[in-house]
Amino acid sequence: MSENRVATVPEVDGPALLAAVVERVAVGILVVDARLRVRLWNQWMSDASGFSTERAVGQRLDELFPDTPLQAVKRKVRQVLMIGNQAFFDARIHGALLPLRRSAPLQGDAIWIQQTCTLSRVEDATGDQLVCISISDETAAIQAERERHEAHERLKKVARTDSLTQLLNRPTICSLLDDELQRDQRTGHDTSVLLFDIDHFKQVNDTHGHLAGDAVLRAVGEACARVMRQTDQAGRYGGEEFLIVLNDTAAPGALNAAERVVQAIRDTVVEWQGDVIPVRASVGVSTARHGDTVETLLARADAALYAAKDAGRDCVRVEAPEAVAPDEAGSPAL
Amino acid sequence: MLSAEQSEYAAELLNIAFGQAAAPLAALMGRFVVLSPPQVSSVRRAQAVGWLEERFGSASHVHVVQQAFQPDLSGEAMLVMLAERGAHAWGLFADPDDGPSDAEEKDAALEIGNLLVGACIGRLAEQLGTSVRYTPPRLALFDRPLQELDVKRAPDAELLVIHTRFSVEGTCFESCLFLVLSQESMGWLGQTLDRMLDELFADDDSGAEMGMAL
Repeated sequence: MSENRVATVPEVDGPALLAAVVERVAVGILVVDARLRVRLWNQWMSDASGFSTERAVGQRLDELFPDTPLQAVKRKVRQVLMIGNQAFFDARIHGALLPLRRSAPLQGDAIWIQQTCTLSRVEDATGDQLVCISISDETAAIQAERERHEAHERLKKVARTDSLTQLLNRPTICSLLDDELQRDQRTGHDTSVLLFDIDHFKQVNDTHGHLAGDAVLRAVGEACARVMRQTDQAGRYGGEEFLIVLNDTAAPGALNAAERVVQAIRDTVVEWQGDVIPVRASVGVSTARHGDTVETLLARADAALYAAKDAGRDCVRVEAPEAVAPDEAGSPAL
Repeated sequence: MLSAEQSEYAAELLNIAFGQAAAPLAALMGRFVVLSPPQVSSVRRAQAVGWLEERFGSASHVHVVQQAFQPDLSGEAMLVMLAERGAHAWGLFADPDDGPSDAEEKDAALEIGNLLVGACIGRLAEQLGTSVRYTPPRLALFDRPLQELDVKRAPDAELLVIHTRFSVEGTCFESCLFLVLSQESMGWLGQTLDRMLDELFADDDSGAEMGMAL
């Protein structure tokens, strides 16, 4: 087990060896007093800052870096001196705390070093309390993390998106709807859905070809995106079927949203090899009831969609009202 | 695990440690600080979420900071801070009405974690006659539901729980500090506490003898 000892600068055994290590080590090491006046500045710091040890020692950090905000450094130096604990700066939050550069020709010009710093209390031979700041270069690690994160986000997007319409794919929109229904059970908010289908889509494919059909599907996706609120979610449910989930929306609001969707699709013009393909859609609307699941809610929306088809298409139909038990309906007592 | 006598004495040392930690924290922040006496208990890791739900409420969002320490007193500390109802970590360093950015709040959460873990572990180490080094604190959760706390690894590990309220002039900041000590460290802690208890009783005995002589 270790013995309790106090670190000193650098009046310990083998000062020459210790000084050589401090000079050669591949991290920045500086020692400052409470006013941020530099007492020690190793070679790494000279290389990264452009200030030689002779130039830096005796200067305050705010004199060396006049354009750099150093309030956080002052606060943590004070903390370490008062409490005696260690303090840290995380490169992922503070980035380039001090303006230190490294040459990275393969990445372009010199770049700012992303620094993770550890501050520890030390004392010199006269017993003065100082703070040793060690700085490690996290630039490459952070860059790798960022690239990994971006790749992960791209993959996540691909896995969630319908590649043709750029709307959500079926598993994702159904999973979001499931989450929304569960949230409603807790909060009592309303969720409504619009299930719609492009009218006579098979005819488009048969007359103009499948590429024209793809163009129609893309145009419908764009029309949905134009009229949706930011909180709404739209997905491609099947071949030419689409589903829009309206958060915190009761039946009247859902009916308005459905009318906007139908109109936006009516206004959509798809030009294909000199022909104009008219696009229309039929929409079924349903609003979640207590105890609904994705399946029960969509079954009612589907029935409303068929009602819209039966009514001649290019229109909106709302689900049948909930059956009310005679007692609840207030029927007169016999 | 520690015996009842050892636990009681450890709680007493923690009490002293927290008492000593409040003054420098207040001086550092330039504001009045109250660090309530810590309540010490233990819980299995798998039950930590339920334990926190009982105290913070099941709908709570939390920040979680983790930090390892060594060598005699070695293990890992996990500070769980309530992250809502105005209990912003940033409010401890600046006017909470300023509305901190995520980066500022994250930095403040890390700093508070580092300060409280340092105050608790550092002062406890002093009481035990040793010193500690820390790894940089890691933000394991930031403003996330309590239920996302990872308790899958080592679910049976026994956690020492130190529950305290940390208030800074108007900003109530509730936190729970969980400690997991390594096996070696538990052995060392048990021996050290025994030695300190022996010394304490030896002092009492000599005092009693002196009292009788008088």
